[in-house]
Amino acid sequence: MFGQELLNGVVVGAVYALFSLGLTLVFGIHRILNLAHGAVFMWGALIGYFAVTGAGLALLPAFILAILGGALVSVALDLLVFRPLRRRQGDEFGTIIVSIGANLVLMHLAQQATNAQTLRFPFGIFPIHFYHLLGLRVSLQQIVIVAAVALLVIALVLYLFRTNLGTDARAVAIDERTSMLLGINPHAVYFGTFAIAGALAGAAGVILGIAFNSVSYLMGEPIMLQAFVVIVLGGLGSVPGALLAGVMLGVIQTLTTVYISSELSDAVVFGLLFVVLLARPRGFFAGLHTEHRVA
Amino acid sequence: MDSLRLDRLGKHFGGIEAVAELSLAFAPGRISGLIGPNGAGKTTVVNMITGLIQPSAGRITLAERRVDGALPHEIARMGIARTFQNVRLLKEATVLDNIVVGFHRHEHTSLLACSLGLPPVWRERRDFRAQAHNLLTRFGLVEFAARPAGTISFGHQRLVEVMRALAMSPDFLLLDEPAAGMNDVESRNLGAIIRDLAADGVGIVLIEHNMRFVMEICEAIHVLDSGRLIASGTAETVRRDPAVIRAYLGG
Repeated sequence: MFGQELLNGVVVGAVYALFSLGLTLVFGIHRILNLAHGAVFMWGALIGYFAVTGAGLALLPAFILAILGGALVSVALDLLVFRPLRRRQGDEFGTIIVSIGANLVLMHLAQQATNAQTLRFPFGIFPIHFYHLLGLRVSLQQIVIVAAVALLVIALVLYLFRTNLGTDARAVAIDERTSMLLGINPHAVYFGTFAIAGALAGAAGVILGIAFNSVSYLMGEPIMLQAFVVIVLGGLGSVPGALLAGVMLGVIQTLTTVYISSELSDAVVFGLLFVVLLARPRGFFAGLHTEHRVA
Repeated sequence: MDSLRLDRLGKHFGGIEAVAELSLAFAPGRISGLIGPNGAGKTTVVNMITGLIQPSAGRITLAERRVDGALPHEIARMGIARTFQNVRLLKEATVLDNIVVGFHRHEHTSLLACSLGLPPVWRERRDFRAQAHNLLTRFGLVEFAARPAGTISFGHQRLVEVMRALAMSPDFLLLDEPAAGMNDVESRNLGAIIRDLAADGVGIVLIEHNMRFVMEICEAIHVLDSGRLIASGTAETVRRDPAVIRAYLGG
């Protein structure tokens, strides 16, 4: 039984990690804490839902559409909300406040679009199929989820560490002003970061929406709370940190729910966060940026 | 022809005039020195040329194109590169990556190509890394390629900064006290590198405290004091100029 729960936890945690990666990336590179990231996730799920039910698309094209939609919403957030603030030299706190406002707007739009209903995908949208591996019951869905998350994470790491655009992004993370003097257009880097973060959130939205077969305008809120724990635990701005902490959180939550009680699962998670921060105030890993910023 | 021109340039911070009525022209392929006592406004001039601060008065042009008012990355793309008095490398990134970033001006891959993993993305990456490697070899620092830039000696960091600027293939290179903290051998090597660059047609603007270094390699020297130009000319004429002597010795 324990192995089975562990597996379920890893699958949920993989989705947490996928969602949190975008949040930690935007913070790590641009020092923006985007509290509307959950709304991007929710819109990803909605777009996936409408693509399937409204447009009658198959799951894979709907998934790709949700990824593109998430990227689009996220980029729009940057252009319409954060960029005007940057131009007026707003500070970090200002960006947090405007992102709260943007979150509300995106949620209300979704509330209108869904009549405040919880939507369900048509039955059998995902083929139900189980495999038996090492004495565990593994569903096709779980395999697909973990594979999709793994692919997206690999793509992200390749982008960040193996392409010139990724090198630019890391340069901006360390020192935006000096990067500009090297000819790096910061707007282009913002565009890229927000597009990627939104794409990951959109993917996570559809995956979770299908896995729990529930899509609602409120679904972005609880995952934001989980993601805070993940990015702080992993180290703000750290890619491996978000990955490790995301999976950890999924596992701990699942095990707590099964072996202790579902009401206590949040208490256990935040208690754990507290203990880890006492020992490692900066989380597991250092972020893309570090304290030793160049004057 | 394609000169970098400052025309009656001025900058005040509150009531303090950091630079006033400064008109200068830097020619491509020439090594010009900008010297003056501490607080003379040299770094302010460089900051204005590179767009880090906006002039309060006057204009800056590169080959008849307006430079002032443009954003730093636009100015960099026009072909003006610089180094800093206190080195500003990306200390956590490797030496090689620091130089690769410098090639940004030649970058063509789009985010779409990147996310689809198209071959040109990897080709460009390989290309930039190979060129960065060549620069490191030329400067004799290839053994440090994989080290975080913050962990190599200060003199070497300065050289990496110069290489990063060179990666941009600039038309004008502004060097803010490049020889500070270098020993005699290192600064002689740097002098040779600078001469090579000028021979290749790059306009060099050298800001220096080290008078011997400036006198040795600059073809034209401009002396600033309290934000104003007090002398211009060859090393010989500047050295004998009474205003310059007064500015440096006080009185």
